[in-house]
Amino acid sequence: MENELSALKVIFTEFYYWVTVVLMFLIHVGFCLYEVGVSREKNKLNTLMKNSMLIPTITIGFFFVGWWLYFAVQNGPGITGGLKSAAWSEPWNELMAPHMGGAPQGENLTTKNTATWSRLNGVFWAAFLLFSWTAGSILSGAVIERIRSAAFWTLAMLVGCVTWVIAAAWGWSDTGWMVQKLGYHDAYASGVIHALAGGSAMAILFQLGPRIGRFREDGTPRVFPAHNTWLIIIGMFLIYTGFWGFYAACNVPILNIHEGEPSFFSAVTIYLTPTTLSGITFNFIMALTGGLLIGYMVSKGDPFWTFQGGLGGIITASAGNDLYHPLHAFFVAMIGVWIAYKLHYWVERKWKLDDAVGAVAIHGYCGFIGLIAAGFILWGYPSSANEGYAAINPLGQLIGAVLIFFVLGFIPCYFFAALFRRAGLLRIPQEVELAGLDHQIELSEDRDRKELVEFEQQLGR
Amino acid sequence: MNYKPTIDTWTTNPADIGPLYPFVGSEFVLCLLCLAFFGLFMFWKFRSERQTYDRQVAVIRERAAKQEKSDPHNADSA
Repeated sequence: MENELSALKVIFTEFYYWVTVVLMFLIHVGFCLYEVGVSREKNKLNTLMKNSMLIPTITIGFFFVGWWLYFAVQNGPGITGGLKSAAWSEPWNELMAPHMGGAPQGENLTTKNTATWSRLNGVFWAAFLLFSWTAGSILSGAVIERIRSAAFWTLAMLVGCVTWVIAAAWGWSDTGWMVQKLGYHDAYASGVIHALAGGSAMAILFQLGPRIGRFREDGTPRVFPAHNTWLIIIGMFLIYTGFWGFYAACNVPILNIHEGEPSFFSAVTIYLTPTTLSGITFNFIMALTGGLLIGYMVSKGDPFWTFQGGLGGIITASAGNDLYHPLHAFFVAMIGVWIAYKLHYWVERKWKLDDAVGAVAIHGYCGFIGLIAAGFILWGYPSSANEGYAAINPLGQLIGAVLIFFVLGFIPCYFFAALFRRAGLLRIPQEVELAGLDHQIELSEDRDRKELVEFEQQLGR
Repeated sequence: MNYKPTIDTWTTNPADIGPLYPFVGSEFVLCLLCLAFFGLFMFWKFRSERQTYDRQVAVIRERAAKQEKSDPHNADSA
């Protein structure tokens, strides 16, 4: 590194992302607790393992495909250019490993690549990877208690390593074609993570069908009581905490945003447009506040929907939370959660969609609404620090939302889930669903317990 | 032995140091091995999951049939 200032910048950025990654890990802990709490006693261990094991499966997929894809397809390809070269993100590249930044060994890297990416590649990769886990976890909650794990992990890999990454390349990068042509703006990923994962979850739910007994003969839904409310609540608090880290991870912490003299350093968004950690902290908390208030009100104090409301509030406001006033965030959050709550029950009754945790509503609908809201509130703002890009506008946001929710979210998952269903690999057998997914483990535990009691009785004699 | 570690001294100019890991040049083979293992893992999981559920269904059905036989109400109705 050429001088103290540039060394400080790079090493601070490296440390900053490292901290955000650790914080974001709490999102996954939260999702695990939450899902296990919502599941019935007879399914809790399977639910835990299904979600936990998406960590290694998505990680492998993201190491080999996702990270490269993010850089490679920012132009479409074929819309604003061809496939982009990003040698540092290829899984066999020397920069996908510990590296001090000296001259490259391979031919396809420059000394600038090694100097920049040697300290940032791992932490950037991990930050994006944690978003991938989140995308997988959003699906996981919706489909609990009846999906086969292998099919689920494959679908989670599709979303976590391919479709959300394409959405991010197109709309959540400083040169993505949606940013350039549509003026798409989604600073804290209302769309590219949440709307996309919500659309994906909806598609899988259509193929998977409801849990046995979820709907009465007259079509009204039965409530499946959660087996542990406290796990749900602690899980939600951890998701909020991790989401805070997620917000920080969406920023570049320090960058010179003034080309001339004097230099001006600021935090910037993924689009390299200025923002401040201070500003987004206002907005994050006010969005949480709006979501909690309306969630509590609309559900008449139901704890599940109140906490979900807080999360939905943040998700709705996220697209524009780099630039909103805190009270914009507050009202956008309220509107998003109110609509998502109403839409959840309407869709549930209309299509018998058994979304066990309300993931389609809180992530999908809130994310979609958040994109539309940002299009109106930020209408005319530049979408990028680069000159010549389209400005933020409602139509661009709507097209982006449809592309993300339906084209990248719904359609690929619907297709692959249909394939699994036809092959008999999607849903567990009816007998096992009724007995419980932990049935076999419980039987073996009973045997072990009995044997131990007999052994102790023998010793007592 | 002719093997030369990637790093054999820390007293050079750090700016000249590139990769820190040993066996530079083996990355592609490592990738292939990892992918092969992961492919095997997924294949094993799909297969073992199907076998586990088939076994569980058989046990559940067998137990249900036994219960039905030993249930006095069923005997009465028969």
